[in-house]
Parts: sequence; structure tokens; C-alpha cells
Amino acid sequence: MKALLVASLALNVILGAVWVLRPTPPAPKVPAPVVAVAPPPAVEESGAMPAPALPQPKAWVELASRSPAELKSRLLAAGCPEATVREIVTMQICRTYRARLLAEEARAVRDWDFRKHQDPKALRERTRQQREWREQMITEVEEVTGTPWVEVRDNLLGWPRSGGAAGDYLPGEKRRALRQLDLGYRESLQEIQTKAVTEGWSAETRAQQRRLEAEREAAIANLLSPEEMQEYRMRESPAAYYARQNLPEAASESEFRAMVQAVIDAGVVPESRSMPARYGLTGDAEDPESAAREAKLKERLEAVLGADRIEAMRQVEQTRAEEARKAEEARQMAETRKMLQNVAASLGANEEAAGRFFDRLQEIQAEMDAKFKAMEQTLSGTPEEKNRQMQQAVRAALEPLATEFMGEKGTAVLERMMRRKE
Amino acid sequence: MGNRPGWLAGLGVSVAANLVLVAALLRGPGPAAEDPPPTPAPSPEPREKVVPSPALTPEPKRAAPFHWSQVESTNYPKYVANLRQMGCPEDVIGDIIRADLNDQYREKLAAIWQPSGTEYWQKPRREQPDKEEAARLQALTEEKRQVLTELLGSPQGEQSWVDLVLFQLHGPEQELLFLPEETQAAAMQALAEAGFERKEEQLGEAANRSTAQAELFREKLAILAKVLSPEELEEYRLRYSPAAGAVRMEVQYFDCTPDEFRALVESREKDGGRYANLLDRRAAEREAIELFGEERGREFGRASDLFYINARRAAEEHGLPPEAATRVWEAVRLARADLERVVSDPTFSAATKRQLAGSIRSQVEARIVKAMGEAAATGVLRDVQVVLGGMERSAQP
Repeated sequence: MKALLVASLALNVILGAVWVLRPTPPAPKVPAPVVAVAPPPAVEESGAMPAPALPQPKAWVELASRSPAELKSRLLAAGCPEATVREIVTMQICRTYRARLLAEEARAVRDWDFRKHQDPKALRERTRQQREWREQMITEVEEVTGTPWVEVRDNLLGWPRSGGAAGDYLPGEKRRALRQLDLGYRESLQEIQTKAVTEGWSAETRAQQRRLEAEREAAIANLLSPEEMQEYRMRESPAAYYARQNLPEAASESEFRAMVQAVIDAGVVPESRSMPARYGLTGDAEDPESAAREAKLKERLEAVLGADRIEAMRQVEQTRAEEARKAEEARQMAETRKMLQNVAASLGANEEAAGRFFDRLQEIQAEMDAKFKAMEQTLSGTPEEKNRQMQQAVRAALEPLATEFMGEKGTAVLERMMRRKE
Repeated sequence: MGNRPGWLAGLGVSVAANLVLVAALLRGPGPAAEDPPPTPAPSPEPREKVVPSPALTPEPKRAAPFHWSQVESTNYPKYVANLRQMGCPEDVIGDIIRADLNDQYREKLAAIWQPSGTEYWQKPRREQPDKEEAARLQALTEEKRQVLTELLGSPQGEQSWVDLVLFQLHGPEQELLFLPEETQAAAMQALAEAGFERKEEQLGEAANRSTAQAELFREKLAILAKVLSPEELEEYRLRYSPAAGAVRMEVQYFDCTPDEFRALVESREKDGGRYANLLDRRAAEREAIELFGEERGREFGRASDLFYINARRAAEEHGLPPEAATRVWEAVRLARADLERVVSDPTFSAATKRQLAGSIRSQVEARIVKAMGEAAATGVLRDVQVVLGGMERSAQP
């Protein structure tokens, strides 16, 4: 019995040990939670601004993209300020187009036989191509940044903000379409104008210009709503241009619009005077309808503005023209003074003294003019001989003054200036 | 046997315990497996209790995702250094910094002077800063340029940036395009370091533009000589010197060889414009005879005469043969010689001179129209009117 008890106790120990040492069951698999996005490192939970960690050396590689739209979205996602994104993306677009321009120009420059002028036809074609690329560049910038080109440009260049830029009365898409349309006509219109300005206006060039202008106007009317078209006519049409350039300044927006409408009603179109006509040579063919149009414009302007207002405008214009003439005269005087000083400096004379000499000449100009005019009556001989005598008289009168102000070098300075005048 | 009931009780407990243990062992591994949690909740406990996915494993050495605030700084040198650190290309760094600085300087510049701006209905105004304002604007622009140069470590011109934004190409950048790209870059750098952008701007203020232009070109050649090979420099000179431009005008209808072109450019560079008069080719023709021999020299004299050039151009436009231009040139040459004799003859009265001059002019005009036709002759007739008319007027008392 005792042995049975011992055996049972031993079995207790063995079974207990087996139970204690039995294997542990495997743990259940836990599904992985969604990975949390790391917050920007700028602000910690405490709210304090920590010093940002240095960027990874290759961080730009992960941001860069050839696609401006993709680059923009990556930069924005990385927390880059919108203005900086606009600058980076715009400049990437500008650089892409510039690379294209440089490649094309390099090809043309290398192909050029520089013993001759560049072929005018090829030059015109390159200019046309460049205008087209520029237009594409601007369109792409506006589309990607969502900002009007004028604003982007002024911001990048630090220029004063343009404010009411031409075309800002149109939505972006229409503005771009209008620019594109204009590009198509610009080449042909410019060709006509160049021909007319260098050789003189003919009935044929006038007719061509009118036909093209009418075609362009019809195409624009097709593109814009009637309200937009009216704005276009008042702001950017040839009639608006004519009113700004050729008519007295309007006192208000409504007055200007009335004036533009009068120009449209009269059918007047801007026409630059040709070079031969400017120099008094036979140049521009008579336009038989021109006088009638001018008369109609005068009549329409008087009707909408009143004769008193027209007279007041004329007087303002006269004052303005006189001021402009005086300003131009002053500019030319300053230029001549500078030229005299440069000549003096190149001959080793004192620049300041040369300036004072010039000022003195201005003071006595009226007196000198009267003296030389009287002398002119006493001269005799051929025109060349008279001219020679006059030059000698001027030299004799001015030489003591030049020496007084500039010392012995004064004679050489005067001589150089007179030869230039000859 | 007095303890037998105690033994029996102990034996019974032991056997019972054995039975319980055997039953427990036969049932399975243990209580945990018996009652597993159906969906275990994420454990806040240390992760060694679960098998973690790699994404959850903390990697202390891996950097956080990039954020722009890591580079942006109000301290520009630091901003530039950070941008470089992140591998940002130099031109992009330049773009960012320059745009930022331009924005800052806009206000400063506007405080000195800015155009008043006009509405679409107002006349455009030609507003200019006065002398003092222009000088202050220039000084501020120069200050900005220096700040940029210091920040970016290389000379920074304003014009190249404007050209890039406005899609313009001109000046040295365009001229140097015939060279290999590396040479272009080195040449642009050399010109920038010599302050050429400013010098070219100042050209507009020069009293005598053509002299200043020639002087500046010589200066430019001296700078480029340090970067270009002698052959490249020579080609640059023949392409872009003011003298080369004048020679191209003269030889547009003279098929000159490269050596002839070079000889003419060298001559024009020395003579200071003595041979450039296209209306009077006598001196230029004499020189060309010395340089190229009698036949080529005479051909050059004819082909570079203004009347020949204009007549030839009109002939091309109207599909006429070059001989038509030669006939016009010959007629005008003779008429000018005749008129010169008449106006300088002291034996003729003023009235006789007028009459003879009128007759010479009518004859030459008729010959021109005969050679070219009415339409093609228009421009040449206008030139005749100007030149012969001028000779007639100079003879009048």
C-alpha cells in the first residue's frame, strides 16, 4: 500500500512538471494600422518653434519635375509659399522657352555668311517664330500659375505694379485667345506698314491695310461677347489708339469713349506718315476719302462734346505741345553741353571750364546772333566763300572767350566743335 | 496498521490529482489557446508582444519628410546655404533670391521715383526721373546687384534676368552664340566681371554714339581676347565690329571673298569713316583698286554705289535682271558728272545753270524709267530728286 502511495506521488510530480513545462500557444496576428503622415517639423506639440532640421542633401531631386504643373504641386505639398512656387515654376517655364530660342538662334548665327547682311526673309520668319514662342510661354505661365502675365512679370522684375493692364477686362482664356488672334494679323499688318512708311502710302497699301483691319475686327467680334467687344473697341482698337494719339486728352473716361465712338463713326484710321513725306519728298499718294473722314470726325466731336469743350481741349493741347517743345530744347542743350565737355576732356581741357564756357555762350547768344546776322549782309562771293567768311568771323569772335575759360586748350576745343558743326 | 486510514486518504488525493493532471494535459496546450480574443485591440503595450509590420517599426535614423520651412530663412546667406544643401540647382537658387530681393527693393525704388500711371482713356505720358532721381535709382540698383553678387557668389547682371523673363535676346549673349557653349559661358562671365552691362547702358548717354560704340567694341575685344582663341576672336571681330557692319552695307551686291572682306574691314577700322560715303565712291574705289587690282576695284566701286544698290534692290523686287541696275547706275553717274561741270562753271549764268540742270535731270529720269519701268523706278527717282536737287541748290546764289 505504501509503495502504491509513493508511486502515485511520483506520478503527481511528473504530471505536474509536464503541465508546467507545456509549450506556449502562438500569438494571434494583429493587422498593421495605417501609417500616420508625419506632421511638418516646424511646430512641436508644445507649440514652440524648434530650429528646423537641415534638409536632406537630395531633397530637391524629389521635388524637381520637368512638368511645371507637377513641380508646382510638389512644391505646394512640401509647404513652399505660393509666391515662391509661382516664381520657381514661372522661371522654369521661361528657361525652357529660352533654351529653345537659344538653340534656334545659335543655328541661325552659325549658318550666317557674315560677309552679307542676314537674309531679311529668314529674319522675319525668326521674328515671327519668336513672337509665337513668347506667346506660348506667357500662356503656359498663366495656365500653370493661374495669374495674369502682367502681374507675374511685374513681381519677378520688381517693376512698379502696372494696375489696369490692357486686356484686364477679359477673362484669362479670352485674353489669351485675343493675343493669339492678334499675333496672326500682326505680321501682315506690320509688313504693309513698313512698306508704306519707307516707300510712301499708295492706294494699294491703304486698301490692304483697311481690308486686314476689317478682317481682324470681324475675327475678334467672333471671339468676344457683344459687351466685351464694346470694351475692346473703347480700349484697344485702332480707333482707341487714334483717339489717344491724335486727339486732345479727354477729361474723363466717358468723354474718351464718346471720342472713340466719333472716330469709329467717321471711319478714321491711324496712318503713320511715311519717311519720304516727312522729308518733303514725293511720297504718300493722296487719299481721296481722307478729307471727308476728317470733316466727319470734326462734326461728330463737336456734336458729342460741344464747340466750347473742343476749344478748351485745343488750348490745353497747345500748352502741352509748347511745354514738350521747351523740354526737348532743354534736353538738346544739355546734350550739346555734355558733348562739348567730352570734347574738352578728350583734348586735355578742363570739363567744368568747358561747361562754364557753354553757359556763357548761352547768355550772349542773342547778342551774337544779331551781330552775325548783320555781318551776313556784308559778305560777298559764292555761297561757299560766304560760308567760309562766316566761319572765320565766328572763330574770331569765340576764340578769346574759349581761351578765357579753358586756357590754351580752348582754341583746339573750339576748332573741334566747329568742325563737327560743319 | 494503526495509520492505514491516513495512507488511504493520501493515496486517494494523489490519484485524484494525477487524474486531473492527465485530463488537463489531454485537453490541449493551455488556457490562452482556449479563449483567443476574436479581434485583438491595438495594444498600447510595448510592441514586442505583437509581430509588428515594418512600417510601424520606429527607425530613429531616417529623416522626416521634407518641408520647405527646413530651408526657408529670413537670413539670406542661410537661405542660400540651405537651398544648396538640399541640392537645389544654382539657377533656381538665383531665381528665388532675386525675385525676393526685387520684391523688397520695389518699395525702395518707388520711394525715389515711379511713373504716375495712366488709365486707358488718358494719353500715354513720357515720364522720366530727373537727374538726381535717376542717380539715386541707379545707386540703389547697383546696391541690389552687389547684394545679389555677394549672396550668389558670381556677378549678377540685371539685364540678363529681364531678358529671360521677357523672352528677349540681344547684345553679347546673341553675338557669342556662334561659339561652343563653354566658351560662350566663359565670355559672358568675363564681360559681366568687367561690368559690360552697365557700359552698354551708358552708350545711350554718349554724346557721339558711333565713336563711343567703336571705343567700347575695342574694349570688349580686349576682354574677350583673354577667353577666346585668336581665331574665335578674329571671327567675332569680322561678325560684329562697327566697321564690319559698314562693309556689309557696301558689299551687299559685291560678291567678295573672305580675304577681300577682311581687308575691307581692316581698312575701315583704320580710316575712321573716310570710305563709308555710299554717294561718293571715288576714294573707296581708288583704295579697292590698290587692294584688289583694277578690275575688282572698279567692280567694287560700282556695286557699292548707293544708286546701284537701291536700283538693284528694286530690280530684285520687281523681277528685273541685274543689268537694269547697271544701266541706272551708269545713267546717274554720267548725269552727276554733267551736273557737277555745269554748277561749277563760272561762265554760265544762274538762269543757264537752272535750265541745263533741269534738262540733265529730265534726261536721267527718262533713262531710269526706260531701264526699270515706272513702278520699279519710284525709289530711284526719289533718290535722284534728293541728290541732283541738292547739287542744283548748292549752285544757286
